[in-house]
Amino acid sequence: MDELTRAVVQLEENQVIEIVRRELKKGTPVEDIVERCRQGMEAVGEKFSQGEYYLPDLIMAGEIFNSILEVLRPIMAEAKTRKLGKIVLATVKNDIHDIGKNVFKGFAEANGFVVHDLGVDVDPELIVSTIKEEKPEIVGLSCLLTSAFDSIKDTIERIKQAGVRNQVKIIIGGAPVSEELKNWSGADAFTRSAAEGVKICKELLES
Amino acid sequence: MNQCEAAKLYEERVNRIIKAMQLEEPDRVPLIPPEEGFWVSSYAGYSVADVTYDYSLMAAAWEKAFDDFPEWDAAYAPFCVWSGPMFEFAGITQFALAGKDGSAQKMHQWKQVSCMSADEYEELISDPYKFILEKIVPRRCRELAKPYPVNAIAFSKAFLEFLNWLEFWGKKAEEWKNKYGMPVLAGGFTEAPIDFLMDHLRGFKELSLDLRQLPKDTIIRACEALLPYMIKWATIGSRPATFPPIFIPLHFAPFISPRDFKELYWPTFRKLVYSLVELGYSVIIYCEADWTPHLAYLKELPKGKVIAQFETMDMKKAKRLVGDTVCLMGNLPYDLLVYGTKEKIEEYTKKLIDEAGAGGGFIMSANKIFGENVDPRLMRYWCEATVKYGTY
Repeated sequence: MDELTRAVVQLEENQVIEIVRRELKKGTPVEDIVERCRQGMEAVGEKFSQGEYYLPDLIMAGEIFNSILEVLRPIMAEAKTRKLGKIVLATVKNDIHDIGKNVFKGFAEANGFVVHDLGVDVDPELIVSTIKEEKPEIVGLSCLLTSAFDSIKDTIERIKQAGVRNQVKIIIGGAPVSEELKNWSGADAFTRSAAEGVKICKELLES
Repeated sequence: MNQCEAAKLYEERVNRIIKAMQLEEPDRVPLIPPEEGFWVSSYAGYSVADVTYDYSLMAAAWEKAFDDFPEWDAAYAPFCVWSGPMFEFAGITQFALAGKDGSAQKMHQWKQVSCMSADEYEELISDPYKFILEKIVPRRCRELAKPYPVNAIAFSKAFLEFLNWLEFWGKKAEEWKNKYGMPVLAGGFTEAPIDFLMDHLRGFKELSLDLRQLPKDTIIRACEALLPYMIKWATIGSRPATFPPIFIPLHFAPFISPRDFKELYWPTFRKLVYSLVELGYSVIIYCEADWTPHLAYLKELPKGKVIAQFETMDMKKAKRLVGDTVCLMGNLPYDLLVYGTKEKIEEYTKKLIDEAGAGGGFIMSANKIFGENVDPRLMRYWCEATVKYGTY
């Protein structure tokens, strides 16, 4: 395995940053560096799915990826990095929890998605207007509270009424979501795991 | 119901719960929905804001539920809606209060804010009380951070309100016993030391990073320093008794690796439970999320003194592995109570009783704390099914 990829997988933050800086000095193209980090993040997600890594490890990986982006950001603007698609992401109205959403965001970005994060307790109208402006392929709705189930349904209803439902795939995520909630609310997919969620988003792009 | 009937009913219900806790067979499986006040208030037609600012309405909502669902064997945790005025006097920034500032939120929500930095561990460890009082409280309570005498006045107002609130609920519990024969399940409250560290001091994300970035020993010493205060928190307003038990919700455990659980979570949590049991208390632990990886540890807890409530758990497996040590409680899927059917509820209730109820040691409950959207008709079916299949 590539040295940088391995350092990401092993969650060695200092080492990762050191290698990134070294590679930049050497003149390695930014997209190469990002790709190797992305592979590391993918492997971290894989380890999580297999029960080898735990949520604190995913959070650590997200932190490392943010540090990488900080180093690369100044030069990223000019570089042509691979973009998979766009996700509009929000914790739904009446719910302020965002740990899961943020972990998902980190992994989605690391995998090449552009994520437009609307934050927590987000009004359905804002989600609808953002869909119209940003034209994402995917909308991610997150919740932790059982009392936010209605908000998920309402949001999807609003997206339908606004006539943009067929332009997007909708994935719902969070600890309490289920197949039943997906069906009841009219979403396309559900996930209780950030790493799995990113995988599902890739599948949704192709469906 | 006259007082004599109520007294008899109260005794029946408490005995049913105690027998289950002591791993014996009661007359039927006790039923205790995990309700903290949010559902009963919406059921009675009140908003959460109504009951947060007027606790007589909160009590009235519970009483309507007692009238309509007499199959309940206890009110799970009736005081969790707390007192809005108390929070406001102190300026607590920890909660997003439902109904405050026109918010349509249906529950109070916990904000994940870190109010202790990683370099403050040694200060916490050397004197937790001083550190929390002098550093954390002002960071958590806007009004208490203001200069004297504003802070002192704010504290007096908040504390007086707290006393009013305590007195009100103390009387209510007695009234419910005499009028409805309804016991209150949670006799006190505390947390595992590392959960306190996460919830009140470091925050979820920050503690997650500490696991990787700090020496393990630092976190262990912090947990040990907090332990005496966790014991005190449980015992401070409650008398030692088999019933009601001390309520301990467990937060961080399901998210961490087995190794971190073994080294950082379990030792001081185990000490907490043993300390309380040695003082004459019993406990109910709420194993939130999926406890399957740590299930076998429960075998180390004192036998017949612990109710273990589960969210995600194969109850058949739990019965086999730890059913001879802890009383199992759970875990009807919340979904079923929101958009299930009579048949599905009957089927699942029967399945749970078949899997976990044999020989006693089981309390029927649901897997998640109730939000406002439980369907009362489905609640009725659940009550009936528990009586139908749960009678020994």
